[in-house]
Amino acid sequence: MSRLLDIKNLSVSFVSGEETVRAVTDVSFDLCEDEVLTLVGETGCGKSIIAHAISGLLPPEALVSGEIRYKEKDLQSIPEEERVLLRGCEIGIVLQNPSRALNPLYTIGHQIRETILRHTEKSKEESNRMVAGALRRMGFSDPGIEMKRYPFESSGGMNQRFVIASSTILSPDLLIADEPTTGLDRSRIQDVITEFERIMEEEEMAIILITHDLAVARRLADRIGIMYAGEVVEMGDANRIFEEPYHPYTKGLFGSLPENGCVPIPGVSPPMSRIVSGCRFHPRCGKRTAVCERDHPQLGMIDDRYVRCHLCHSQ
Amino acid sequence: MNRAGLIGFAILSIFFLMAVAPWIFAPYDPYIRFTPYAEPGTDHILGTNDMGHDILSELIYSARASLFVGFVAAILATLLGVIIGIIAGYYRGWIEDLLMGVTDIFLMIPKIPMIIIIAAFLGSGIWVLILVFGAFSWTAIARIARSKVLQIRESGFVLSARCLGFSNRFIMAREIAPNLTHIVFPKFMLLAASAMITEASISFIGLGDPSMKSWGVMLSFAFTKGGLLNGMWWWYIPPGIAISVCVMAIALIGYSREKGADIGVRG
Amino acid sequence: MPLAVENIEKSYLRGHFRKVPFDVLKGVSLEIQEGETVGLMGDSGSGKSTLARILAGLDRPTSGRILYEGSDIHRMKRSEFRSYRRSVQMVFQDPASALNPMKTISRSLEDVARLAGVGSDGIEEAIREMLAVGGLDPEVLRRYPDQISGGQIQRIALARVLFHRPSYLILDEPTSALDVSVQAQILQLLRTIQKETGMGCLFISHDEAVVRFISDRVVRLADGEISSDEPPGI
Repeated sequence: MSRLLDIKNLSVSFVSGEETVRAVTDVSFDLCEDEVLTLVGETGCGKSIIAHAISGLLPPEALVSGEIRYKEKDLQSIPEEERVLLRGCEIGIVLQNPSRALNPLYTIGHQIRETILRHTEKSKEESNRMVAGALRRMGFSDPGIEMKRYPFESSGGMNQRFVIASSTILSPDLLIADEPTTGLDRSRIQDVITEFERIMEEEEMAIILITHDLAVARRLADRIGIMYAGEVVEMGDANRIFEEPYHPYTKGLFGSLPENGCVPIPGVSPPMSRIVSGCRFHPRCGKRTAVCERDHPQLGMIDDRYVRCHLCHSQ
Repeated sequence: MNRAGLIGFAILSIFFLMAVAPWIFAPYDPYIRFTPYAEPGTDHILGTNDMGHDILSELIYSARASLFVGFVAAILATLLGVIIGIIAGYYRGWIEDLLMGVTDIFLMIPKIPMIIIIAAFLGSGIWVLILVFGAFSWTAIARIARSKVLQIRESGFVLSARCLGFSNRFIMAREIAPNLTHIVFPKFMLLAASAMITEASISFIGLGDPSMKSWGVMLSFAFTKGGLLNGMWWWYIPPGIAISVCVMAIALIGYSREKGADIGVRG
Repeated sequence: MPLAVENIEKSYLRGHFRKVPFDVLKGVSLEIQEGETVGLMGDSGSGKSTLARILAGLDRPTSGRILYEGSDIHRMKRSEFRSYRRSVQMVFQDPASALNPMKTISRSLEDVARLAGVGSDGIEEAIREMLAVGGLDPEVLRRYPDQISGGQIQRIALARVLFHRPSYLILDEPTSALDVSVQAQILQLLRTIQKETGMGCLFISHDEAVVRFISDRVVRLADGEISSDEPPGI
């Protein structure tokens, strides 16, 4: 498999007044064609910022350093027109909250077709056929009816599937999904998962999935990256990490799931404007030592994965 | 507040200072009589009027009446509007239907003709102007307040206040009302500006209080006593500019807050 | 004394141009014992939030009765209803709107203490008590709700409500908007408080695992009717 996306030392910070909020610090990873990478973490850990940085949707005041290479092109240095062309055509984006992504005044069919008309030379009839085909693949026996519907006539989960359909109709090489299941009911989340599973099976597409929902991550991910306070703390094969987490934060996160007994991690996530010295997790870690308080750990290889923890490395 | 808002605030502060302490700025008492119809010169920067009053001093002393009418009328209208809007939105049901019905009726009554008719009957006076303006200008505020209250009453903190057993009056006054400031304040400023213009218009057509010094009254005299015909620009242009600049300053503050309200609370 | 609803029905008029009645609840009966936690599950639109609002006395049912200490709450005298209001409290889902954005946390807590009849000299003590119940740092007092985290807001909401020492607590998806590690903290806090006070709880959620963790009994609501009522199982 060849490399589609390569991110090196990506840092994003925002300056507001006297405060500097370091949303993402020194994140590096690559992504192969046809691979699903899930970034998991809690509110404010910077996972969505990474998605926005790749899609070029960061607000202008964001300070970005590092490299984002997509098919050997540095996404930061290419002109905005080329970026717009990439978005929607080669890079599909799905954001949280489908009701905001869809315009309530247009039918579903119209909105999906618009993507095709905007990025290709195809005729209206041809695009309609493509939309119908896509909806049929999604499992709608009569796409004509679905195409004439308005967003408010379907549930949130359904709408999210339509958003996914419209972002993937041009078979992009990369799909970025930022919290696609947040705010949906369990059974609706199932709809969205089904849609992703279909795409993974039928299309050749790399997917970056940003979520805080561990169950969703577990179902879909090939590789998983756990983020804490703007950093990746553990990254590797999803099944392996879910079976046996190494990093104390990953352990704590899994332990706080209700099915694992709801054992909370003490304390709260630190504000991103005041970075803790040493290991960023040390104030909440039960096993911290003097080293953890003093030195900032590096992301290093242990067995089959990358872990950012002094303790795991010294064992 | 953005830069436009700050500029507006600075200008309005100067006008307020003029209203509170005109003697600091004015070279003369505006009721002292000098030679009438004097042209601008070293003694009288803006000349004198038909009565021989110094126009610059008159202009500065007029700020008080204009601002007083503008802000008192706007406060009256805003209070009425907010109270009616909150009650309608909070209680809903027949109370809402009744209050909003009344609002719609008031909304249809043309304000300035109404003030002219009432002023003609009751005689002209600053308080007639204020009361009538207040009584016919609260409708827009009542409507926006109600629609915001409909939204707020379903939010967790209001529901939770109801569960906790706070009285309806407490909930309306202390939980809901403060949350309306963002949307009501810009409208309040625009109302104040509008009331000042109304005062000027009413005074200009001669239905104002002639014993009072306001920019509208000055304009009115400049017009009726031949200032305009004789090309005495220093008589009729300064009050016009004063009204425009003051209204603009108020509007700038209002608009700058409106922009802030759109962005809303951090979420 | 159990809190019970008997044969509750609720319908709304729906639609912008033509008003069509829409049944949200179609005859729901449910009883919550003191000290018991009942989990209420169902998809959005199943009527679970409507049922919660009716139980809390925020909405009137179209028909049916809500029984507390054996009497129908909508036939109570004003003073009795006021005491019902205090005994049955509710915590809401969205932390972003759970507290008045124009008040500091200290003010929000103080209002509750004053409402409960605490005099000026007892306010500080009352606020300290509420902070302790919610496991909160006094540092939050001078902040506004948009300056603190969702987890802290839900703790404050819980502390405010518990100051009235209610016999029943209705929780409408109190942790749905929170991160898992924060959710774990709130659920543990809730469990501890419930054990100490012996309150009855109705815990509404669409998350199977959360409901199973916290509840003694799980009730499922579908299309306005109870479809199952059983122990949480494994």
